[in-house]
Amino acid sequence: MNNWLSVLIFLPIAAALILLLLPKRASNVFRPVTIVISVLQTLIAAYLYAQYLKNPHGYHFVERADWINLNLGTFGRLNIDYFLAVDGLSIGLLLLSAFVMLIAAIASNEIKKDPKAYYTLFLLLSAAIMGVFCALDFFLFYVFYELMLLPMYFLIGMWGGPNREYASIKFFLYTLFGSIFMLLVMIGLYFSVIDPVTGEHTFNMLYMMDAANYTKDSYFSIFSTDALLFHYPVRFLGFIVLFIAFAIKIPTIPLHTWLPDAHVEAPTPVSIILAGVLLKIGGYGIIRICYGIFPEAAIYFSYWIGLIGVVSILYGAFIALASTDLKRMIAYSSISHMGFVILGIASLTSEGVNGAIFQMISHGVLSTMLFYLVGVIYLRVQDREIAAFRGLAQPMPRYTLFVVIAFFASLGLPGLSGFIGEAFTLIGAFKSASVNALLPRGFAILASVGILIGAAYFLWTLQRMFFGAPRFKGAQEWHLKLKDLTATEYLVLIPLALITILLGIFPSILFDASNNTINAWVHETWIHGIANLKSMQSLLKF
Amino acid sequence: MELYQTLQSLVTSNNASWKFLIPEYNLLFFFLLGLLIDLFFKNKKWLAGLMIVGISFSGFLTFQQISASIEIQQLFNGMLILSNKIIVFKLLITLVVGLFIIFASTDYRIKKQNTPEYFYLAPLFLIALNMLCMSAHMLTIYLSVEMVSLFSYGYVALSIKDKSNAESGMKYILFGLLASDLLLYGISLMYGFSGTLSLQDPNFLAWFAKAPMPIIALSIGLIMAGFLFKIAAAPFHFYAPDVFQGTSATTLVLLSVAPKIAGYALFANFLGFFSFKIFNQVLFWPMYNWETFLSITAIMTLVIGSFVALSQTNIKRLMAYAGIAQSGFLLMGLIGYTSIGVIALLFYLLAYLLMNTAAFMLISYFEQQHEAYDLADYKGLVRKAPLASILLVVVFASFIGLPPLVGFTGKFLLFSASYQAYVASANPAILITIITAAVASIVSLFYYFIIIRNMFMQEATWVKVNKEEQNILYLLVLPLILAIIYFGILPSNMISYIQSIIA
Repeated sequence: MNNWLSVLIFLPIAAALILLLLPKRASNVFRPVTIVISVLQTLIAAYLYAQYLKNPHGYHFVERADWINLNLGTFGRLNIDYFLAVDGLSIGLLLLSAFVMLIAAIASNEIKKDPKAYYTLFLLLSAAIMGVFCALDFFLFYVFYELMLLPMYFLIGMWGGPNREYASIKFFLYTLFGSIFMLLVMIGLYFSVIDPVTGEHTFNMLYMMDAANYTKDSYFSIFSTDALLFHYPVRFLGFIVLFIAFAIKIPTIPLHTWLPDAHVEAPTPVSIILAGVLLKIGGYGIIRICYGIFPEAAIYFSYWIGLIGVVSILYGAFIALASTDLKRMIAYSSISHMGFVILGIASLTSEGVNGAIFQMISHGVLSTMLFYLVGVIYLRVQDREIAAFRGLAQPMPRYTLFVVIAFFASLGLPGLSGFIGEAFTLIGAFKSASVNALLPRGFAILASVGILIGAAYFLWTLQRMFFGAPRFKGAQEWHLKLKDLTATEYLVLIPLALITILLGIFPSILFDASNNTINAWVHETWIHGIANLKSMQSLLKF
Repeated sequence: MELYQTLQSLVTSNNASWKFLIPEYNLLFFFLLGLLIDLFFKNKKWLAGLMIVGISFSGFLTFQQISASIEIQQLFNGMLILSNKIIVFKLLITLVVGLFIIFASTDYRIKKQNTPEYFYLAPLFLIALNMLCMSAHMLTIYLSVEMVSLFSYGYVALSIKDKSNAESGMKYILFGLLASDLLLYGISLMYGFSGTLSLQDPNFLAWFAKAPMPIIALSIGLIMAGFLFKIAAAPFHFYAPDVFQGTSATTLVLLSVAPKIAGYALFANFLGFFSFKIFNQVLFWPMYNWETFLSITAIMTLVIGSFVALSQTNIKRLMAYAGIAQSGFLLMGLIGYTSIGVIALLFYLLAYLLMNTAAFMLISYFEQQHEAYDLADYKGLVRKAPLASILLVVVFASFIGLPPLVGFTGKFLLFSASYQAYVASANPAILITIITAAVASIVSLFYYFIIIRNMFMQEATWVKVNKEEQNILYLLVLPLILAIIYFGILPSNMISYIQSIIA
């Protein structure tokens, strides 16, 4: 059987349709069905991952079929393929997504309102996420990318906190702003790229990555002599538009402001999905699409991209330090951690980009854990102000153990997964100065300061909330409510903690899958980027 | 002798032309039948059913007219034309009118007020709309524009009898009269300088181009004013919100879609006659570069429609402004009037038809069942009408252009067509139009989701429920929604069918 990826995508859609048909009374089957589907997805993803490791080169599990194929007369053909495949870049993220969705499904036991609608949207979102990581046809990618928005909007907006309306529409508007302009660039690329086999225009991303496939006088061609728009190379503009679209998703400074709102208002499982998976789509998009299609612009702007990464690291860390709400603090720490991803990508070294992917997966696991841990106390006392708690370790010692693991992993303690990701991206950033001279060494030094601040806010929070004599805002009432972990909570937290430790000790589990792909990718991006840049500079004289 | 021959040829052409109007005779027959039934029968409950039969039959006859060749048939010496492209427009309009009658026959308010005209005028309205699509001569254009307007006024006034309604009808008539006067004045100038009213006359362009430039500008400007009024595009859009607000949503199922499709058919034909590439060479005023002209109109329409929609508090006013913004998108289809431009325009019109009829049916349902007129009335509606609310979300998502819905496919084709037009002409106005359209899409998210937010995320203060159930709504709206999804995921068959018959 070779259409596992389709199964991965359409399994939740089929389940969603079944849920829709069930009566509302059957409220106790919705969650089990969702969990079963998520378990199946995780197993399939794990199987695919194991299969991929046997031969970690190139694209695997390729599925390709005509989707929309129209003859439009003088205008040529409209070709849109149903083209799925995974490589070392996406397979890890695919596994992460399936796993995070499973955790989120288990964590959804706090959802009491309207379970039918909730789990239907949840499954739809799951399908869209799988699709985004598998699609290699730009049009198909876009469809899945946009398909995530509506379920996410309702998940935040209907099951969220008091300010949920604002947060959900803000999330929607920001993402749509990025993606509408992405659509325009996509159309422009389509009309510039020719499928070398059939001679027709194509949305195939792999063809878009090869400069030879562009028609000579098209706007996105490297060899065009007049591809300037407002006196600026069109390809650079295309890169900027796509970068903004994905930078909103990651999010980076200054496009991040939707994230803290969305996180603070979203219910725990939705926060988990948001931090664990959705942010990674931004990083994935930058590596696969921005850098893949516009390597010369990536090299040209790498200083600025690296700078954005460094500023995100520092800014996110400082705001996290000042946050009084535990969830908001973790949201900002996400921005800071995702900054390392940007920095690693910008370094364009094998270490940096491998580190970026590792950091994405590690952060996916850690943020899932962190948001779930916040959810644990919020569920008990409906409060998550840092100042409202003191000495939590006494009533909840086991809970505190998991918090300590998650915090230490996040602040980059060696032996835990966060350390590997941050260390590799930093090595990449350091090395960049001597290897390709894209980033100054100062960036890496500043980013290291970010780790220091990270340690500061995590340790300080640990000290403020968990140590010392217990003293809670809700006094005696809270003492009764703040019970230690339940069985479900163990079920969620133990695997997460184990994976964190496992990845910290054996990082090669992930590097084995990504390394070949990334080495080839770094090499090609560099070679093509430099060649394109030279050609464009001589032809366009900018 | 010469006169005799001319007359002879006229008669021959006329004789040959009658058979192309079979769908219209059929409609006329059903109209007369309805009139007679209204006069002589007490029980008129089945009148609507009869009209549905008549309109479906006319749709069938129109479908039969699709010919193997793509040639344009000249009817009545070029007064009317018929081609497969025009037949597609006619079919779309027939579909709207048919859906409208089925839906209107379930509206209890219409049942109560006992106005059978509401049903048997529809075939006559359809004749007028069909004529508008087929007009190729300034006289027929003017006559059909007037005829369509007349019935539109009638429907606004008929819709529900109360005061605000009369006001809307009156406003509509006054603005409509102004627009048709402008059109008539433009036509008279054009006639005066070209010596012919036939747009297909070979001498027409040559003579007209010799007129003084300000006269050409004035004449075309005035004619355009008349057209823009019909499609509710800026700056001749201002009647729409007032008319919409005072008209029942049931009537708007018809009025928000059918005249607009006919208006675009007319616009497309008109631009076709001008073979405007040639015209651009004759005229050197940049304003009368059609692409620039249409781009500027589209930009104004998009900006006004979407940004004013943001501040509305009445659902029908909001939908009116949203409709204006949609007009801007459709104008993009006219800009790229290349081979894909036509396809994009026709496909988006189909999308627009599906989305708009579904939207107004649902809005009408909320009006009838829950007396929801203002956005505030929509609060918490999902608790009372969950299925209808979810369907409205799908429709709005399609309006915004989220995949995999038909609105997205339509917008994608429109953007592609405009991009092609931009690459071909390198006219920056087109690029600005594309970017404006993208921004308008984002803004549209905001105003459509004000409604969604009210429905799903806010608590109802007080929701009225009417007893009279309207189950047929789902029989009508569900297929429309399924079509919205189907044509979003698999548009190939429909597009290649349209493509195969028009080119």
